[in-house]
Amino acid sequence: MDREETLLKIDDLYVKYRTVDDDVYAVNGVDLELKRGEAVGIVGETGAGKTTLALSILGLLPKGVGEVYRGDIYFKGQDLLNTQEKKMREIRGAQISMIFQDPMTSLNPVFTVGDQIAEVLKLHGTKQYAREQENAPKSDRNENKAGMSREAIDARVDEILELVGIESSRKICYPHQLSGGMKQRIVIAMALACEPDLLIADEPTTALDVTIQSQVLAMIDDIQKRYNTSLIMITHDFGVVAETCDKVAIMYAGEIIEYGTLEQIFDRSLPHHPYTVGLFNSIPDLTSDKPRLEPISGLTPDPAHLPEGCYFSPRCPYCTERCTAAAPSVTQLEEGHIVKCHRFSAESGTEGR
Amino acid sequence: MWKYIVKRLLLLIPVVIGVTFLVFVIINLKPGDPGRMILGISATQEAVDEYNTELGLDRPFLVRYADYMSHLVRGDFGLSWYGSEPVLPKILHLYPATLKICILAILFAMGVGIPLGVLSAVKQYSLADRIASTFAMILASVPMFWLCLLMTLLFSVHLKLLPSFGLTSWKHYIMPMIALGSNTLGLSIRLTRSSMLEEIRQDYVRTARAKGAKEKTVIFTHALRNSLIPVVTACGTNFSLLLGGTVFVEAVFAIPGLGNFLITAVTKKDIPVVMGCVVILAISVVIINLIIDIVYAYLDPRIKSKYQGSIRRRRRKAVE
Repeated sequence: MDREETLLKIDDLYVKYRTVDDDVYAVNGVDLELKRGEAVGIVGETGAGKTTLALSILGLLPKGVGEVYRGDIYFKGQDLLNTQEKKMREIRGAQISMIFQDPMTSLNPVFTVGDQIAEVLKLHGTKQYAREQENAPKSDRNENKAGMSREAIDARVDEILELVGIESSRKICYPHQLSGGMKQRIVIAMALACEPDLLIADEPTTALDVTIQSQVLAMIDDIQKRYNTSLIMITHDFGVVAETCDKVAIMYAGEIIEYGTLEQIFDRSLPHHPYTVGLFNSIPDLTSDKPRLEPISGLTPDPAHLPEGCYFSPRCPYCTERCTAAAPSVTQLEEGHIVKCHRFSAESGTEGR
Repeated sequence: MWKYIVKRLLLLIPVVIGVTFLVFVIINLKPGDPGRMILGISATQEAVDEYNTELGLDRPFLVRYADYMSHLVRGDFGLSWYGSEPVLPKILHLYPATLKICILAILFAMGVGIPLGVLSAVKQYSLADRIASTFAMILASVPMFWLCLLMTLLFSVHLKLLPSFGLTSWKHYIMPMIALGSNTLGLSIRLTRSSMLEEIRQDYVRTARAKGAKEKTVIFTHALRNSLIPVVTACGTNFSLLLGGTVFVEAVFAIPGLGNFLITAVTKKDIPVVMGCVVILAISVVIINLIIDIVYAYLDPRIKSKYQGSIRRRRRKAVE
């Protein structure tokens, strides 16, 4: 399989939510490219538009409220924003699937977890099954792609449960009979059942305690490598990113303000966006003697009333007149490392952190 | 689960004792001398007294209650003071009609109310939602007897489509069913709508969509079953009220049912009949509540495992 093949391309994406009072601008011009088998981490504070970005890829923005009003999303060259709902349903769960943030509420309380995993298989079938169907003689071929037999579905449910580390005998359990960590594994099993090409994990470990967190992350990492799945890891935890991702995008107020490889972003000797610097300063450093953390002052701007110019300017320690006057454009610092900040624009000429 | 059902049926004993005692007190406090009412104003005082003694009314209140109960546990509901007819066969003869109307009414209310509520929630703020919501509000606030009269006027007098009294063909059931079920219908539309609106915003509904499920599956398989839980509870509670509500409907449509029988008995202070009806109604209410609880456990596995859990725990304790 070609590793350089572009799987997902997001082009200048703008999303807004219409509310009674104001329009809320959640995503403001995101460009993102993802190759097959690649893992990109999207990091940002709460309200930065990370989940909105994920939902717009799946076409699951709340109907009548959320709206992509500019930009394009291409998946395997297909324009997702102009794809019919019926075709989108075939993509969802089969080719793009999502692990949701809160495993406690993401499972339906009245169905067994086995049935909930089986549902996605009934809808799409597995790739293995699709291959078998193609090779089968024409007379035996089942035209209905989702027509996996009950036995085949049951076998696949058992298999996928084992893969996420849950005994297959637990499939008759209802969600309330499982712990939070196990529920998250079920959510992951559901997302992986059809071997998707793209997996979007929306803060998959936020609701879990630390010991379970690393297990779940290791599992996602393992599965991603095994199936050569592309991964979008949405998180606000740099530790999670370091463990699972190849590329990192830092998101602020609906924009990607810095993007680079894991090494480029985590190398603190390289120049960074002031926001990225602030994020790293907010993490306790075991090797330094600093008695206090240095959090970024202020709060994320209200997406209904975004500031003029650079969205980060009200909180930026390096803010100048130019920052409040005009929005910065993208500057490339080195190969594959880009940043959106006036301090690195060609005209300014001042380099530094 | 079986253990739970048996436990709930045992609860019948205190309920029946409590209800019968209360009603016995109230009916005895009701003014009116039974002997005088039966024999009429022209009878002599001696004859009235003698009749009262014959009925056992000269004995103290508690003795009479104990006597009634001791006959009741042996299945003896006594004889009506008017006509000396045995009470139990008469009740069993009249009860099916009442029960049938009640069941039809509740099925009507849920069968129409739940789909309308779902439609209302899924197409929130649409014209259909506004119409259904207004309709629900009107139904929930219209007095039952008034609706009975209006329907009779329209369907029987003007359109001559439906019979206005009796209970002999399927046509006779339509108006009583609608009249009795209308309040519950209004309630079930509004409840289904609000609980559905709550459920379709839940994360698991989004999960179902992310799986690629059809919108129909998302609504009817995933969200509906969860949103039915409060609706079933409310309709179940209302069923008990409907059993009482049949009194109006039976009176207006002249239906030979238990409600009519009970009301006549109360006005005539026919104590054995009143008591018999009350016992049967109390038993029905307990059994209906039990059925609701079983449906409830079927809808929500969390409740089911709670029952099983409590039984298992007790068993474990017993072993220890």
